[in-house]
Amino acid sequence: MLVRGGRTQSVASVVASALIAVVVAITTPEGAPTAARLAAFGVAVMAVAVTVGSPRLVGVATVPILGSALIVVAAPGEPAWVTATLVGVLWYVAAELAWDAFERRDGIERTRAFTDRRVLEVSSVVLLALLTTAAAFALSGVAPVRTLFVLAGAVVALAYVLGAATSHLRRRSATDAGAE
Amino acid sequence: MIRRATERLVVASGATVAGALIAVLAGMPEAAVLATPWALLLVLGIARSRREEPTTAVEVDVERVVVGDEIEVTTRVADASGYVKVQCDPSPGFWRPGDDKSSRLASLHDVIASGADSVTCSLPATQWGTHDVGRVVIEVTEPHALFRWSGAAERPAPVRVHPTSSQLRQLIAPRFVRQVTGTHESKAVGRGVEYADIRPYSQGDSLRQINWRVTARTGELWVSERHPDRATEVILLVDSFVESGHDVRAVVGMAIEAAVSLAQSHLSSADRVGLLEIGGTVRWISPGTSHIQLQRLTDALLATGLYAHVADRQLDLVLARVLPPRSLVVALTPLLDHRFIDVLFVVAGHGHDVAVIEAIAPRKVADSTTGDVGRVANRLWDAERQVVRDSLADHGVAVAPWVSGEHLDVTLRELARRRQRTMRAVIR
Repeated sequence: MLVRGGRTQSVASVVASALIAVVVAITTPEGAPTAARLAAFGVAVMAVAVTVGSPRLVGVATVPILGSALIVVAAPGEPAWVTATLVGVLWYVAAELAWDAFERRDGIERTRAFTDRRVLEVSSVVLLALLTTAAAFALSGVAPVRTLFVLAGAVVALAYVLGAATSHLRRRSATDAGAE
Repeated sequence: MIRRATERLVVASGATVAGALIAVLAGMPEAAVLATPWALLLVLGIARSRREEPTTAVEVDVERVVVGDEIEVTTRVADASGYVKVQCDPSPGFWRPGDDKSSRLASLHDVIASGADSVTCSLPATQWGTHDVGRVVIEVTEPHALFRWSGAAERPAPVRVHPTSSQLRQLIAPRFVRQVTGTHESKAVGRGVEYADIRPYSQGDSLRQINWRVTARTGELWVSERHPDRATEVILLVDSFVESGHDVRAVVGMAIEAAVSLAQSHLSSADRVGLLEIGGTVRWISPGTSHIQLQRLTDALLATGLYAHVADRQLDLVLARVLPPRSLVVALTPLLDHRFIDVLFVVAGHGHDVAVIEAIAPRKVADSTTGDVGRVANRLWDAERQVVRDSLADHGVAVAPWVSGEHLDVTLRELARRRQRTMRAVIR
């Protein structure tokens, strides 16, 4: 339960998801209140998930939260890149905070290095997401969106292959050094 | 160890696939933007994951500790990256009754540096005995926490937790001593420190023995006689029979604490100390000296089990065979089990010098009962026990009560007083 530990993270995750609901409510076009209601439902599910400490329920809350944002950004008019970026990043942070809170509830002591490394990992994902979105937004002015998707897929696949190859080589050289 | 996907992987995969599909099929780049953090988490997490199983080993830094010390459990993790969570789950006997186990679990969450790391957790040793440190549960979470390895490490060797022994200022003075130099004053006459008597000088007496004052007064040579200091053989007779309705572990714990203190003090006074534990099993350690004997005795005491044994054993035979003649037998017992009380009569009957330290047991039944019934029960109980003490005194066995929390020296002083009184009564 909330009192067991990770109280700050629990509250922060609910606040972050509530912020998403606020963003969705502000940007919801008139005549489409479904998005705001869906977002409110998502926040309620998140609050329940945090209270009972269920990581799966956080995953379930992703559907109404991202669904509501999708309804907002799908509305005819100007592309809502900022809203999508904000909601995407906020929800990722909220989910990470909730999971972190659940892990803290076991009462196990954590080293400073552990907390620092987790913060670094989450912040690097957020930073990369912002950079990627900014780059995609800049490129969308010069190329069709679908072409960008194909290119992005190719870049991600290439990056993955390169990363896997690098880690394989590093492991092999470490094994060789150990054998010598 | 078993590798499992975490909830992060499920959510990240679902969000990424859904976002990409909606973006491509509906031509909505915002859907992909919404899922971008999850897609990046997926890419970074998979790229940094290791498929090799981490290797783990658990070590305990000590074999023996004293109650109140910390036991350090070190877990070494190799061939891994990410984070390690270590949780010790000691056997139930490790904790004192009423201890909050969850808040005292030795556990830690740390980062694995450069593929291998060691995590050290501290377990407080609160209860005497030989304890299994228990299962050590290890979880290795890969970077970005998409995958988690979990498993339990091999049980390390058990740890012996010694009770805290109190430094005793006085020892039980034995009635019989051995012909070996020690610290107990003998009634015999010989070379020693304590003055005994004077007698006329005879040929062969040392000049040092001459009592010059008496010699000057009488004009003839007189020498002083002294009591020599001798060692004795001490047998610690420990009662580990179980009697229901009492905090058995606390009572036996008291007896063991007293036994360790007495063994330590008598061994440092050059006495030979042995142990006879009578309960569900009969354990015998023959008398010996030196530090190794203390370790042997302590190990035997720590291995003491509590048994509700109903069979009558042929203890007379055992006692007649094992106890060295004319030894000092110090019984440590709550005086609850009639079989042990019978043993005391038998030992005294064999001509041993017997002293009893009675570990006072908490009386649950009487304490929980209120009113007249409780008071009557208390009085009956006290009267019954007094009968046992009196009948032991009639056989020359002094009994001194030892209440938990009281220093053993107080009990030993009382025991010495009662032994003198009992001896006088027996002689009369």
